[in-house]
Amino acid sequence: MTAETTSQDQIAAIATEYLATELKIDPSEIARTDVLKDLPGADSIKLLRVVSKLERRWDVEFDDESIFAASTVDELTVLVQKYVSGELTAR
Amino acid sequence: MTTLSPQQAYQATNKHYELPAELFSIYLDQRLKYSSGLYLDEHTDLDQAQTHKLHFVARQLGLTGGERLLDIGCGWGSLILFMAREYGCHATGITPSRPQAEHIRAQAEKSGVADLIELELGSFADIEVAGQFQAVTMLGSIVHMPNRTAVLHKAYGLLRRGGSLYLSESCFRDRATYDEFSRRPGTKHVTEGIFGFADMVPLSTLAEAVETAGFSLTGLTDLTAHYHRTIEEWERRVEAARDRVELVAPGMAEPLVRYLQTANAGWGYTTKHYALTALKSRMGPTEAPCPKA
Repeated sequence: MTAETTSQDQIAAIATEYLATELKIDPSEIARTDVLKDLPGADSIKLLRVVSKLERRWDVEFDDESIFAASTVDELTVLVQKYVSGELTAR
Repeated sequence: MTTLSPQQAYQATNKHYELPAELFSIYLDQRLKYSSGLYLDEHTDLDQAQTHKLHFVARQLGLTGGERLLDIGCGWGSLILFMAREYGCHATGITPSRPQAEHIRAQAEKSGVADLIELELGSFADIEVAGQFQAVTMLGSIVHMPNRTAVLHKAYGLLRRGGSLYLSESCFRDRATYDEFSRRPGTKHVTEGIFGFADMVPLSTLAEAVETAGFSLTGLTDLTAHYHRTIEEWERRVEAARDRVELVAPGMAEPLVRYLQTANAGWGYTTKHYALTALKSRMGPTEAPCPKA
């Protein structure tokens, strides 16, 4: 999957899958507008593990500030897409 | 967190390390080395990584064979036994844990290096150690000692001129992260729940203690990625043998997994793992840092 062909929906689906796996819940329980830290069973360590998996998935490193600024699934998706599309290139 | 006296910290810390060696044999490598390995490539397994790491420590110390070495916080003796066997070192280990000391004595006999191994049972701060050593090692032990400058000062005093120090530790990645995260529940589960006492000060604080003790700082290696991989393997092994863990140490599987996951979630984000080398020498190394490219 190259940067150009990775749509926001695809990223959202992968982020949701990682969240569901980490939190041991069904992906259908996660809406894109949900606040990450309010998801069932969420804590900072589990969310960090999700961020880490997303970074490794696309071989990018997000800035600390932008990680903590992403509060919903959608915002996390937008963050990932910015890095994947090369709009932000802290690789 | 630093309100504990060295004696209280030593008592609190010792609980984890007095759990039976059998528990640690479930998830650690064959030598029971409870610190980061060193991975040369993607095929390296845990046992190989720990062997590479011990050779790396020997290189960092400049060991050529036969030196007197002191390992402060020697765990189950992986380093002293290795340096005795591979480098013919006269190695002294310090541990406050009786089960660890007994394990080491048995291993030393088994591998025929009993005459090269000495053990001191107790807290380094309280023990009279007969100097002088050419090398001192502290792998992940200073984190359990609130009086780190005094400890390093004592280590400095036990080294002969030109002797070397290898110190590796897990650190919060900077002062601000330390201030923000060191009191959080996830951190406290690891530092107090598992280890009794651990203070993961930033590297700058460790470096300050090393220089205050009188050393010349000679090197810094970032081992974070290697510790991440090491703990991934430990976690895999605990997960695969939860039943055995519960049999050996009832109630331990869950907190152990939580500790390993917390540690591995933090690497690079909140924490780092560094190795420092230092010399007891005014001028530091005389050889050029990059001999003939």
